[in-house]
Amino acid sequence: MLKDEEIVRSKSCIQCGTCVASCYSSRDTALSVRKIINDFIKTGKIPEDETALYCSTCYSCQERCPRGIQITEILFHIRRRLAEREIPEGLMPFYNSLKRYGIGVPPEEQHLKLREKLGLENYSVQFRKEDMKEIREIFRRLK
Amino acid sequence: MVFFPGCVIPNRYPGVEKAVFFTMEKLGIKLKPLEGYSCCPPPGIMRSINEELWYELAVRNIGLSGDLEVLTACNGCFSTLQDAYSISGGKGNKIRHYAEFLFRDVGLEKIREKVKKFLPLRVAVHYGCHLVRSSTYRNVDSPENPVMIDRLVETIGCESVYYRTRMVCCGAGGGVGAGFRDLSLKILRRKMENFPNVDCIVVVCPLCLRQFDTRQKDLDSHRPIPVLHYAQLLAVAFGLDVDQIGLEAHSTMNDDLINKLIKGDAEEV
Repeated sequence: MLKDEEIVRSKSCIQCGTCVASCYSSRDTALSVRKIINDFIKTGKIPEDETALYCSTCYSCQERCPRGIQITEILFHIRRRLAEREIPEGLMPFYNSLKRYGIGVPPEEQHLKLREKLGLENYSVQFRKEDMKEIREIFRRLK
Repeated sequence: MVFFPGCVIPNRYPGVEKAVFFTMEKLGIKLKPLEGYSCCPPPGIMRSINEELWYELAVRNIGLSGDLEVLTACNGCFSTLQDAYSISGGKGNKIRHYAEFLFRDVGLEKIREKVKKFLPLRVAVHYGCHLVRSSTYRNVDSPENPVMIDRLVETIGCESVYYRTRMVCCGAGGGVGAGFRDLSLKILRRKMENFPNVDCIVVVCPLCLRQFDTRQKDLDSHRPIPVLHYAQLLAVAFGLDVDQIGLEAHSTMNDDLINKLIKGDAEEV
């Protein structure tokens, strides 16, 4: 949740552009963190396009912001609002796998073999029916 | 302590998990697996979709640990569990990352005492964003000029070679690696521009590991550099057989590095 005090703080943005200068994703895309923040503090507007999803959440902009604005947290907030319209296609395989197995990146045959060779047990929720019920219950309640 | 392995370590690079347990045992730290854990889940994907779901799943994982500290070896798991713990009103340093735990609690001297074989390698250290940023929440080292991992590799005989882009993102985080593969590769390309000539890259996050390991081949005119998690290097330095750190799962490995890992240097470098 974006805290009220962070929304207030964001209004102290001086549009200096340090965020954009620190942003590697914006060097190759149309992502402009400065513009997204500007629109957000003026009108609370959520962008129509998907550029907020290009943020790799490296936190460089937030770390360097001279006003201490929680920029990456605001981007997370915007991304959630975008996901309310539609979950981004590229994130669906991970989401579905998490829902089904309780694990975002489940093992394939070769990884299970390697685990066996190294003497490692399998103790994630994926291998425990009772625990998996809890995960399904959380998804059922909150999705 | 209990070990929270996450998804990518156990299911893509299990050698890292083996190395974490081995090194902790050698250091006399009791570590048991966190049974019944689920995906952490990652902020870049799940916190960007449904924050309540992200929170509940994370809090369930933390709850499984009871009163024990939770050790992670992944920057993503570390940040998710630490943030969820803090939102839940938790106090103190319950959620730990392998690298900062070694550096701050175990200490370099104790690590050095346990070294059986120093490893005179030239390495490029990659911290990964979420270990140190945002410093408002992480508070483990400088967000711009951290030193922990440099000291940790030097302690086992490696030379940490400075490079200009060492604090640049690998390109895999925030759902970019999953959702926007072209952009992810472009960030990696910028990261690796004018990269130094080293024996290997050393990371402390399996997502960064996978990014360097599987996507360097897609960069033009670039000879892939092998990449290891620090736990794997430390395990070899503590005497674990090189055959036991799961290198068959790495696609960028080369014989030159494997020979250097096997040989090591009994004399301090």
